[in-house]
Amino acid sequence: MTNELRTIRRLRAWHEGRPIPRGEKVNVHVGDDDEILCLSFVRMGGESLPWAVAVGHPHEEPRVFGVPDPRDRDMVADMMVEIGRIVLEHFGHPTFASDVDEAMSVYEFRQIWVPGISHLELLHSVAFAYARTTWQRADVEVLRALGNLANCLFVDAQRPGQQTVVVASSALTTAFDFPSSPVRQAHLGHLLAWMGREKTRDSRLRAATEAEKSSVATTLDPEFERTAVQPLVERWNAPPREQRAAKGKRVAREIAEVLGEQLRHRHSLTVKTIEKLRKDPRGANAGLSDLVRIGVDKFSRLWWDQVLRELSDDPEVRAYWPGLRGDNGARQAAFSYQQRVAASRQVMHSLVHGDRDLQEEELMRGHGVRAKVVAVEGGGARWTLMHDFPAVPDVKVGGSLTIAGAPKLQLKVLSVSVEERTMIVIPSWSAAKYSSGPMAKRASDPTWRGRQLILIEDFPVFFTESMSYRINATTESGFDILDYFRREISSDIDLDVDPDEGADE
Amino acid sequence: MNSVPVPLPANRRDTRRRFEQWVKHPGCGANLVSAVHNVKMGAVARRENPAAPKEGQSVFALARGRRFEAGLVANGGEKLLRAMAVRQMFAGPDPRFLDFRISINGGPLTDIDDAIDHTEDFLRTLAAEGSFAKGSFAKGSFEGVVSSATLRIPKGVMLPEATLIIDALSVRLDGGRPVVSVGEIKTYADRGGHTSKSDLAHARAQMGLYVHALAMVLEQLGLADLVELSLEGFLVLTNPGSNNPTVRVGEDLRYQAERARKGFELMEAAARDMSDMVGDDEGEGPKSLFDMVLAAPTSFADACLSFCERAPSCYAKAIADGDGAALGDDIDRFLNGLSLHRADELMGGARPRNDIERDFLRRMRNPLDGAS
Repeated sequence: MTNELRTIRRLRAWHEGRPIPRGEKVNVHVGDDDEILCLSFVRMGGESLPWAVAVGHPHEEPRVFGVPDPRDRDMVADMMVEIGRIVLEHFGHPTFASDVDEAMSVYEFRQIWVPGISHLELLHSVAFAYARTTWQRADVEVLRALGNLANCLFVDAQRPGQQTVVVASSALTTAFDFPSSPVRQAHLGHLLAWMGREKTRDSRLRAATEAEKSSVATTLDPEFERTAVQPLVERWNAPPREQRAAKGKRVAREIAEVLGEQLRHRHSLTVKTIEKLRKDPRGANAGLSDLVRIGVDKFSRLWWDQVLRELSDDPEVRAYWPGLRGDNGARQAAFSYQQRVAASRQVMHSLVHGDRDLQEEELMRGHGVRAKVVAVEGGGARWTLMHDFPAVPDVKVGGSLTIAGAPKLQLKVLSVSVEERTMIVIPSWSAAKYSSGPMAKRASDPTWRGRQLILIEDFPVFFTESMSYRINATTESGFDILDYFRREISSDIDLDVDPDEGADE
Repeated sequence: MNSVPVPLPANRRDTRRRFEQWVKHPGCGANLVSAVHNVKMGAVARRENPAAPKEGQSVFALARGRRFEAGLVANGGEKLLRAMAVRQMFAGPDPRFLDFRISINGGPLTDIDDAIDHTEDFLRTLAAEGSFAKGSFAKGSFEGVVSSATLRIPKGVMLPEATLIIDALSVRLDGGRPVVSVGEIKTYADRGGHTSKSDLAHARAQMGLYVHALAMVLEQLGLADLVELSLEGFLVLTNPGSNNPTVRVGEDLRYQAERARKGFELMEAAARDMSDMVGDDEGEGPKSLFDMVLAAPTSFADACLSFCERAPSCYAKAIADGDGAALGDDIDRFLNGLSLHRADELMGGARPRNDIERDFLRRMRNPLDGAS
């Protein structure tokens, strides 16, 4: 259903000939310049580690690092040590703080921005290469620290609502609906070209189609790689290995120039995205501050606390780094699933009240109901609502609904009549709640009558999250259904007998 | 069209590529003609527009793939056998290695026909009494892996016949009975549960095709009851950041094999009235083949972007024709037969002419009502 909403918006965007805002607010947090580090990678076809990297804050020229041939693991590791120091310092790793006096005592919010999803995946490859390395080489502790940070960033990036790792193309599609196929919307250059200064739909379409021709992924365009880079790499590799550094200075510089240009293009697109979102007149959703606060807490536990444990002098204290390969087994997968369900509902809980378009999306997802107040009775102790969407609401008696836009105004469902499309609810407040803005009225206020409301399912985020910990700790698989199938059913149970019968005996 | 004599050698190597190309977008007539006649879309795209960009793969990726595979089979398949043994793929302690690669791929066999003969001999020997024809093992004693086992699918399954090369075919003895399973070697990194889903799906589809082909060949050779074909395959991938192999076992191929079976049937049915002509191994062929592909109707879809070099021209045509698929497959469905041009007019205030147009406007104006 939500997809249909996005289909409709895409058609509207096509009709208007430009991207249209998605939502009344920008639902992506853009940190301050000092909080943001932009990372862009280029890798050689077939390789999984970087060939070159651009890194920098949005307001400054990026620093570009590269190696002539990334198949030389030592050279790549040397490069990654330099990158590692910058990234670790950005995240406040105590060992890598440039100024001891300014070192963080607690984890403070930081962001990494990457141009596209392939750059995020490369972070994961970096984690695989270095997080558990037993390589005997200089600065291996930097590589290991970088690997662990990269893995934590990758793991956190999977959590709905996180604001620590931002994929620029996803940020734009969160904030806008574009008049092009979703398949094309992974290309950051394509998206930004639609937002350019061209006057007409046709000229914007031409610009977007042209922009797509330049790769912004971690790999280079194969034809470009073959014609512009391969001959240089061959020249670099022509002398014996031990002579390459001495004889290949010039060709190394040429390779660095070619790759640097590619990286600067990717970096500039990321910075443009940040600027676009900052300049957006809609402003940020107030609920994002909740998500940032939660994100700081989660990432602190995931990464910062482990760093402190690792640096601890106490031999009894050990760091617990997250696994590299994802969830190992049903128990872990079930735990993660429940955590993500809770996180995704938290996102909605935080953002939906500040954005009417998101409320519409929630209705389409079946997480709410649109209804009109038809009676206010018992001095505000009981309301009767008549709903018009959806026809059969997914609301249960005893459940709780929140009035969209006023998270503190909750209604407990007393009864539901699907035939008459009515619900009887009990308001949870009596006196006006002044934080509820225009809806700060007593429950008995007669002006509620006739008012159409969007009521959002009040999902118990904390309950789900704590339940995931409880189940993970007490059951075999962490997932009740798996336990059920494993459980042996006694053969003497008479299945025709109602198990509740005789319960009082 | 009636069958005509085959003017060029039947394609021997790219059966899988042709089949997978067709499966990606069976609804496109040009794609069907291209796959059946083995005419590469890239060549057609450049005939249509000489400036069409070349897609293709990274030269470095291709070189690495070759290097990785060569490393696996070097020294009697030492690396490959070790990686498979770690995953307990063999019952015995001394798995063996057979190399059925042809000489142009660095192997000991002369050509494809030689590789097919060796593979068929191998399968017969696995099943039969006595020792292997080439004298290398006795019945019931072989456990190990075969590199580049080559199958010729019976005539009529894909025009006019087809050949498949299986990267790795493992044999495990289960109570003395040989159980064979197919494996695919890929250069990309195994990142556990985060390994690219589309890459894995692609590799599993390939293996499903091999299972189906192997089942047909075993049936044709009368060996189906003697050699057990496993419906679980394995993938040989790389460890991230290194050239060391890692093996993923237990890849369920039941549905992929069934997909291949149905796909072959559908492809055969779709291609029944076409000529038997096929292009050569490079996807080139007589001018008439190109003309056939160019004349066939096209149907732009999201999938085209991932595999077809004519996608840019088809996309431009779709935009010009007001084909909703230009904005995504979902838009095409949503428009319910309306063109983008007409949708544009309706959104701009034009009066609807029929129920479809009225319904379109109703859904556009009030998405919630449309959904309810």
